[in-house]
Amino acid sequence: MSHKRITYTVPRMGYTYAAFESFFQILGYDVIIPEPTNTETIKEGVSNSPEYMCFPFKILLGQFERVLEQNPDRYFKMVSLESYGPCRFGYYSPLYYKILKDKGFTNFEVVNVEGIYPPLYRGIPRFFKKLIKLTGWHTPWTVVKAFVIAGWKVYATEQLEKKLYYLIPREKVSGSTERIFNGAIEKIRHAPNKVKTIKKILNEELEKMDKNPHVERDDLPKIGLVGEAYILMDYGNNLDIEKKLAYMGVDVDRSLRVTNWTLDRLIKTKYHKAHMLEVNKGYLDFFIGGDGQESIMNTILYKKNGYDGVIQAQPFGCLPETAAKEILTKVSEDYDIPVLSLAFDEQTGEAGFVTRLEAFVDMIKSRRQIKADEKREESVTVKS
Amino acid sequence: MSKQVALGIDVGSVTTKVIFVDEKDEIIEGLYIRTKGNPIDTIKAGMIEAYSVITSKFGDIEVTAVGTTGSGRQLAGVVVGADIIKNEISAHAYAAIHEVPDVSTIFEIGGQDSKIIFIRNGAVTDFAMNTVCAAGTGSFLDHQAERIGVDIEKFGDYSLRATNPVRIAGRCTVFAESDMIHKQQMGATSEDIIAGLSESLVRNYLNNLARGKELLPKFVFQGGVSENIGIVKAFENAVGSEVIVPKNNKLMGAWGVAMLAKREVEITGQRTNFKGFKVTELEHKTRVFYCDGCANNCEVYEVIENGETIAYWGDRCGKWSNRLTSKVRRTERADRRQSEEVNSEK
Repeated sequence: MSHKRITYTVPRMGYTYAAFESFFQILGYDVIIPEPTNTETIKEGVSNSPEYMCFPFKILLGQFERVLEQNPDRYFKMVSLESYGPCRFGYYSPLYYKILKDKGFTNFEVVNVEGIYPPLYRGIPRFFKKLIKLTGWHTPWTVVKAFVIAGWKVYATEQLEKKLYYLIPREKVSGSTERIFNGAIEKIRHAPNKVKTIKKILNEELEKMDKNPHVERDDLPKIGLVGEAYILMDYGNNLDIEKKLAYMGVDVDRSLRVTNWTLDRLIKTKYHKAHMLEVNKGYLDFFIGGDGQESIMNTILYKKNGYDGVIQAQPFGCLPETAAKEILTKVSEDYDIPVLSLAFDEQTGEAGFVTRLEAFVDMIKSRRQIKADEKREESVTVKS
Repeated sequence: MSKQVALGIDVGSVTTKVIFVDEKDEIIEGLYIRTKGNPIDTIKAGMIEAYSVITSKFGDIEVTAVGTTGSGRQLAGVVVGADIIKNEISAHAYAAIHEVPDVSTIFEIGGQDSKIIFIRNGAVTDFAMNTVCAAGTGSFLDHQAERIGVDIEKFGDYSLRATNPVRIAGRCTVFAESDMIHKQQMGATSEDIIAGLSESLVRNYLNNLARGKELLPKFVFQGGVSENIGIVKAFENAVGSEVIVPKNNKLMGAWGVAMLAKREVEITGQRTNFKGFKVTELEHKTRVFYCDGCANNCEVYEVIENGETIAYWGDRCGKWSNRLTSKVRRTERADRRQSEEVNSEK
């Protein structure tokens, strides 16, 4: 162990990075959040990864590398989320370690977080061992406090995000809600570490956004987003797909959020799995790694909740999502819900991407039109 | 009275289409030119040429609506002042439904994209577009024609003359090319290779885009590649039914967007945004720079007309693109959008 000051760096996940930052700050460490995905980080990541590796890995590698490069005088603990199972996600942290060591960096170690996996008598000790490796030794009270505050901050950012995407298609002056939202996110980020204050700030900001002049309407087309967690949750990776759809006048909902993802994976595992098996019956009833099973479940659930279309966002070459994509073709036929699969790769040209989104939204609108016409005809025939 | 026309511009990756339609939605003049490196100059050249042809035919004209589509639609829309900037899928579907009202499946292969559009009862119900792979698009055929030394226009005739088409891997252009070279060195004739290429292109297209979805007649095949009779025949063999190639197969996108623009102007009841044919004399420049306002490092594009910036795009936060549109105009636009939706619901 070097004498340099220990600093944590965590993957940037959309707007929720503020929560991870406060988590480690409460434990008394320095935190450096990587810059959002941009051409520079992608370039670094892509040039240093194996070509067939998942795109999220390349993004994260690029981000971490930039952090290490810019701060040679610190000792880093890089936090990596890990899953176990058949997909490549399980190999992320050893690969980071190898690649970065080969690049000549010495001032870092990789620590990873995992869920509690069965059998429980082995899973629980394993989880706590990893947790202690991650946080170091602290009084349990501090760790609990850090978890609670981080949880609240994640919750607050997600509530703000939901509000933002609800209001964008309804606002009178386009762009006005986003400005309030950006201020609100900053406030949450710098909020003092007390649950009460976070709650207060959240309520104030939500009210402020609500007061922004807008027209209430419930006839907007609804689109749900499913897909790989990291691509879906970070706006830098998916070219801001949610905001783009919202500005096109669509009610958009994202199926995976940090809160429900962690709850489902770490705490409610048993219930979550049983629920998934029930919904996915006949399509995919075993674990294929990543979020493949969730993608299918959420598509079906979206249909049942009256959504008009689903967009599947996947990193190019992601195994679970590629498998899910083929099954989704069948789901789409059986449940009569259009599904658009978008593969994200290192190309940042938005022209083709926006074309597909626009065409999808156009199509959804025309489908709604047809349904409305059919309903009207039916009611006419009943009357006559 | 001067003749009232609508202008449709489709700036594709390889070619640019400029067309004029009359009151009855018929194409009265259509141009098909290569985009080359500079789309703005191509559009201007196309407009000048089309304008001179059309004025010699009909005398004075008045442009009532302008629409742009294709991958360069944003740029074209800003430069000429478009009433509607529409994605090519909607534009293509609109034109195809206009031409063949009971169409169910549209195949469209252009320079860089290939798409399949499913229509039921005159409305788009599903579509698919090629993702990161460019196998089986016009650019690839173009490249191969050049390599074999056959004119791309004669490609179709060559494949019709083939007696024994060879099998070529169609998944990836790089492998397709090495496969073709291998077969050529083994002694296959150009005819057989070209026919094999057409077949593999269609096979790859149907595998990649249709992906087991139900293909119902009538089929319409449009886009630049539909000029190629060999590929049309390969499609007919694959789907086992007649494939209609509309008479304006290459201009469908521009035609569709011109009609959509007319409808848009009718609905909103506003005057067209068209800047007039004087835009061809103005000087347009584009500039790319990296914004250093935050860590996003967005690539921002700037369009300059006679020294004055007329558009920005590419920024994520709206710092640049919001600079030009004042609040008032933006509210107007939001209202307009609403009234349009209300109208279409009626």
